Amino acid sequence: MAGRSRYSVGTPVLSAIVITALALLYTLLPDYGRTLLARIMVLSIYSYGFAVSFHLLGVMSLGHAALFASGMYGAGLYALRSPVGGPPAALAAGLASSLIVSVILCLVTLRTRGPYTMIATLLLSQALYLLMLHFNEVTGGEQGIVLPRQATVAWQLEGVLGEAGSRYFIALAGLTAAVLSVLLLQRSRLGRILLALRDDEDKLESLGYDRRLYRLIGFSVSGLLSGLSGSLYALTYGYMGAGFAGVMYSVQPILWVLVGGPVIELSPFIGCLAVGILSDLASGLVRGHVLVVGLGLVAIAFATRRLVWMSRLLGRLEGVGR
Amino acid sequence: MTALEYLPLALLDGVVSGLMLALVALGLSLAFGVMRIVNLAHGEFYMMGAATCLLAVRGGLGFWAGLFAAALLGGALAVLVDVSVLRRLEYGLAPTIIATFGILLVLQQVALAVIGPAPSSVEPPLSFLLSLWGISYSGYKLLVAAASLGAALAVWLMIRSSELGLKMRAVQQNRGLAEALGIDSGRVMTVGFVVSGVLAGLAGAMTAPIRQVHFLMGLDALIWSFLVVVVGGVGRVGGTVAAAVGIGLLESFTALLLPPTLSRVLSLALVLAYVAVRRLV
Amino acid sequence: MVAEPLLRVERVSKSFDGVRALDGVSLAVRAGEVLGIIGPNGAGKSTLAGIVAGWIAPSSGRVLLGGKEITALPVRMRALLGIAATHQTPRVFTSLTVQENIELAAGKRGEDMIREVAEKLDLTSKLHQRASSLSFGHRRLLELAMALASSPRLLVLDEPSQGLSTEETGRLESVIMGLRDVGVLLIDHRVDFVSRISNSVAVMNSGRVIALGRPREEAVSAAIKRAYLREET
Repeated sequence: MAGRSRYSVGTPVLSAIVITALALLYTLLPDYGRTLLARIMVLSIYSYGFAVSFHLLGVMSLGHAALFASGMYGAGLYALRSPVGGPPAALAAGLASSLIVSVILCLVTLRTRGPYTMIATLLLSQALYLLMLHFNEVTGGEQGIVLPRQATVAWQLEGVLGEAGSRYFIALAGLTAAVLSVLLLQRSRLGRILLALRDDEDKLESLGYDRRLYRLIGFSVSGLLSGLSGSLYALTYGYMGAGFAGVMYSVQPILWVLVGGPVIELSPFIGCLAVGILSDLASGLVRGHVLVVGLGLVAIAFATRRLVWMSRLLGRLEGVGR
Repeated sequence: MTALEYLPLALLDGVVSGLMLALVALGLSLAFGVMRIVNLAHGEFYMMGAATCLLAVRGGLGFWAGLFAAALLGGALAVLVDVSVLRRLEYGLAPTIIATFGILLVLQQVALAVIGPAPSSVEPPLSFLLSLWGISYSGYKLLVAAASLGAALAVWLMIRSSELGLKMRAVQQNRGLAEALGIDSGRVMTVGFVVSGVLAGLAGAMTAPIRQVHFLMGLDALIWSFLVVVVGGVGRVGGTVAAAVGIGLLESFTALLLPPTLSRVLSLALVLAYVAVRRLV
Repeated sequence: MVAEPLLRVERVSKSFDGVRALDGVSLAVRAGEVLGIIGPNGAGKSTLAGIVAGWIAPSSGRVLLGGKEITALPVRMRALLGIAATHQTPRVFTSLTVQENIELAAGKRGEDMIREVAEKLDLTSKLHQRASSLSFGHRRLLELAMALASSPRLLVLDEPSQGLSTEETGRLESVIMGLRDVGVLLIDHRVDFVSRISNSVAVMNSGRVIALGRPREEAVSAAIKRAYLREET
């Protein structure tokens, strides 16, 4: 990231181009491609959420699945139980849930660094996952709950765009929101405070800023984006399941962000896209597609070895790699 | 039995499961301590050890052959991963995380193909009961606990008193300096990694008769080993064992109070509280 | 009647693992005055700076700012009360530009403050440069700029001249001399530099203040010789 000005016009322009391209791509893709890309776009919002925590705050969290899942269940359960306000209200419920969980997660990580942050976040999200399993009358456990079609956003917009279409463009809208948030954050005073926080939080305190407050704000942005992803997933695919709160789901965005690169405005999407396409290509094989994904990841690891930015990025993580 | 009468049982169970956890965690501690390698596939080495033992038993070769084979396999997997992947990645942190996650998936699928999706059980090689404090306790479990303790001791001795251990400590503290003194750090790291693999495989095979063998069992092992290592201190044998036994006892006692899932949650919450309070950096 | 000094350090002691770094140090800084602290390495100067700035908690003794006790106050509160500090190794935010660094320090004080401060320290041409690419000397000046931008009542400067060129040291001197109504606790081991710009000087050795007075006073010079010579033997 050194040498690249944070205020360069390049990244916003590039981001605009990517978003426009994605919108236009809709007309060119077959139905299958549209479905795949829609799913990737929704999940990449989660990738952005993690990236904010990882890149901007320098926090390595192993518990982001809790944020995704709370958004998913907040929105899903609301859509299931309450007809008031429709999908927008459900979305708000999802965002509120993920905000609450991210505040809890953050309060715990205020006192931890590096590996200890990793465990603390891991523990909390595992606890949430187990609680979800335990209360499976409410959550549906691992099997999950399928929402009635009327509750999904896709159904509501179907008349206008068709099912695949509405999913695609809702996903794209969400992705745009994520990219915009990150762009604005980078260029705002808050963004600069967060960078200073990552660089030298004691020095920041000596200038009169409350590190806990800003860590909380930063982490909340991360949590809201992750929750947005979960909420949109529930509302467009009409499904929620406890599996999304598990450890494997916390590791996913780490992979996406590491694979995607250092450009916080676009890399989370790129990483998610790459891994998503890899998984999809692999699943074309009837058997052992997960095996291929595994091997593919090893190959990606070799590819990323060459990139200097990787070590620089990881060097910025608090307490890790020192 | 009243809750109080369950106490000795809980105590024994806690120590036994803690020591079993210690064995797996020890391997991770070595890998992370000496080589700074975050091996996400460590849990799968454990799982493969258990699977190997299962296959040996099914194939009529017997438990002990299975145990030996598991240890061998653990070491072999470690060598394979190290030479073909990790070394070529120059042990960079991010590529290692990505690659070992990929290997985790690969190993899970291999196990799935070989032993199937359903959990299986293995008969313990020795079935006897010991009478302790008024309860009959599985002798095999006590044997495994003793073996784990023995292995931990062996590792500790190796690190402290052997030449290899000295080299490992040198490499851990200052790789460049160690190299300058003529130590082949690459070799040392590979050996360390092999030991961690052997420990994992061994742990898997030993606990196979106690816990069921399942192709996804590695994930839990990884999570708990990771916790133990960070709480107990990286590369510190004593700390790892203490932390593992502590967590084992914690799990065991909370199981007295709550149903299984909730007791897990409580254990996690308590470990979390401990981490938050100790605020170790 | 003597006005309450801006900063009062009362019988402050600090031990680190049984080693006494400070032993019953008392001194005072008046608003608008510069108190220089001289002494050889290991005299406890940086520890004293740390205690006044809030990074280190004393083992015993009190620190008062404007008559109010601040001994237990955390760094952030001290900043809000008007204490700004610079460190032996300059601490700046490497991901941000010079301008952004000063902006953060200035808080709500506005554009003009930033420009003023940058001019004073000759950083105007570097405003849009990333702090990570600055030379050591310029980082030091940036750190000082940040301290000034926060409009402090008390400045704690720990070895501010170290690593600066003659020209930069000159700029540092003129900035400090040009301050109005700000108390300065200046720690440095360069006797000539400290003597030039301080109103009073405290000579420290082995954790104690062995002399206190005007820079060129007999007692002070003698104490300096004793402290430094002893270090050399």
